[in-house]
Amino acid sequence: MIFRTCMGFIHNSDDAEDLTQEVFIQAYKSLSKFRQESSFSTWLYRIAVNASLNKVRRNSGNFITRHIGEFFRSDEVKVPDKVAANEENPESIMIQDEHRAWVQKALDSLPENQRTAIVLSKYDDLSQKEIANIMNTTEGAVEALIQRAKANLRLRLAAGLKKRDK
Amino acid sequence: MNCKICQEEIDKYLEGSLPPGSRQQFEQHLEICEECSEKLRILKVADIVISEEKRIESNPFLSARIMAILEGGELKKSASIFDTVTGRIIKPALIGVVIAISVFLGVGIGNLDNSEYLFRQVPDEITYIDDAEIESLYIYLTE
Repeated sequence: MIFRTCMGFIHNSDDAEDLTQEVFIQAYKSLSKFRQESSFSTWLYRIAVNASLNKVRRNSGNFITRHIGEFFRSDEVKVPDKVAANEENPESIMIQDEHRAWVQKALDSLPENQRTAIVLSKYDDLSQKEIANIMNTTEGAVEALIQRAKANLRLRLAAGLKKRDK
Repeated sequence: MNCKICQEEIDKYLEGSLPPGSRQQFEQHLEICEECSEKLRILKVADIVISEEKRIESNPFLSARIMAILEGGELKKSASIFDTVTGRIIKPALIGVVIAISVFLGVGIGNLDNSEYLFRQVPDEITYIDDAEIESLYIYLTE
């Protein structure tokens, strides 16, 4: 579950694995701070979200690291099963890669709270109540965040599609 | 169905939770409305990409690796001097000292090499020149 959350923020399995490891070590070190006011999974999710956001901030702040990372990532994109089995032609593989890049870029450009809400909802399939507990807010606020995130995603993806059609 | 209702129902349609009657109306609207069908297409693309990412499994040895770190001494190692507050000060200071020593040694070695080189360039006649043998300028001035 933590790996998926990290994937939602980072979009790279190697980095997500390192981050998952970091999350568990951090949780282990801070076990004494866990006051049982929330469930253990909620607490763990909070650590994962904070660690992911910190990682994203570090990456976006460092121009050189980001570009080096993108350079290596393009070679290392995980191949979906269909593609690996050669069931699709190279053109559709290219279109899928392009779509993946757009969606990741659109997700990455969302404000942090919208991004957190949509990642926990879409990647971890958590209910609005669970997300509200993790984000320390109300269910109504989470619903609003998810709606705004979807609207923003739609706008950003539409802009990407229009650019391609031109 | 109009565009406004279509936008509201679009998520339910994608989740498959729209009742059959509404679903039919929704699809009829999509046939005549290019804008709504484009929005649906975009959301479908996003859903496909996200579900693909969700299918990526972590390394099967990840949990074993984490357990080994938590149980073994690696955690102690990771909490070594460089992770402590003092370490945060010592680390840049050490790097600074190393850079300073490198620069000092570099300049020193460079100068050493340079002086030998210059010494080698000086011809013997100039090195052993005897000033006493030089003709005095006084002779020219008085003539």
